[in-house]
Amino acid sequence: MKDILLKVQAAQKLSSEEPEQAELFLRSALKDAEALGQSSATLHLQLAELLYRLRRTRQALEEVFVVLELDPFNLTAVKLYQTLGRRLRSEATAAERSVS
Amino acid sequence: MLTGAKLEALLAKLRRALEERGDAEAAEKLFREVLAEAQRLGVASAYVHYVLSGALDRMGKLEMAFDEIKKAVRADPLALPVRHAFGDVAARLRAALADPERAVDDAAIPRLYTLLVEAGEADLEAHLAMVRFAVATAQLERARALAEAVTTLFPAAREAWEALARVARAQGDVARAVAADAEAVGVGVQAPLFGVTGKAMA
Repeated sequence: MKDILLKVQAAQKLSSEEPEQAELFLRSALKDAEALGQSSATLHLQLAELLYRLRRTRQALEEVFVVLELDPFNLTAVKLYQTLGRRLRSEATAAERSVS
Repeated sequence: MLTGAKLEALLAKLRRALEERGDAEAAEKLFREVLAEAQRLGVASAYVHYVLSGALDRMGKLEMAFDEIKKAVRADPLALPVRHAFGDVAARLRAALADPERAVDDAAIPRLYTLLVEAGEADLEAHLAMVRFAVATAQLERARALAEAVTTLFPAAREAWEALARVARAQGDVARAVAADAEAVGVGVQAPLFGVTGKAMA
């Protein structure tokens, strides 16, 4: 558990300057947690926020789904879900426009 | 995933609770209604326990805030914000217990102390507050057992030995009191960590 928390702390520190590295730490922490039979809505939410900032909208949405599965009352996740939905729609509209 | 009108209604209630500024009691009631419903649906929501703990803390309901933040940690032990909040509330609880303004025989002391001990968050000051309470309420055997344990846990703390000496004296155990006093004097003397005192010789 301590090792996982250290990875989460490292991810938090790296998230603004080195988001790609932060992602690696977070995914590793999630994998370790899973091996221990632990699931953490907050860790998935952290990863979703990171992916959102990296503009990987679909992947972020997948993570938000996991958060809402674990804790459907997490309003931060609900808000991010709505934001991601809007972004996906606007991306789709932009893609349609560029095709036409 | 939980969806539908029922979830929307609960989320709306949760938003109302978070936006409630003037009436903290009303907000608490809303939070608790959401929690009860979440429990009924088999969801352990770290988020709701966390935000309720914050609301209770702001209302000065420290013990209830601690109870909720413990539940939040249990629901999501890897959540750093939750763990930080747990540390903050525990620190405030310790400060409340060790408050010099608090009467030594205040009935709240054992309750606060038990909360901290059960959470593994009692520090030296918390233990000593409980020793003082036990002495003040004539529970000398309990005070003695606790004081002995505190000197084992914190052998380098002069206050622990002094507390043990006071309890032993109150019990009429002069030998133990004198021995504890000697320990207290001993731990008060700080040997230099480096170097040899006196004039340096080549």
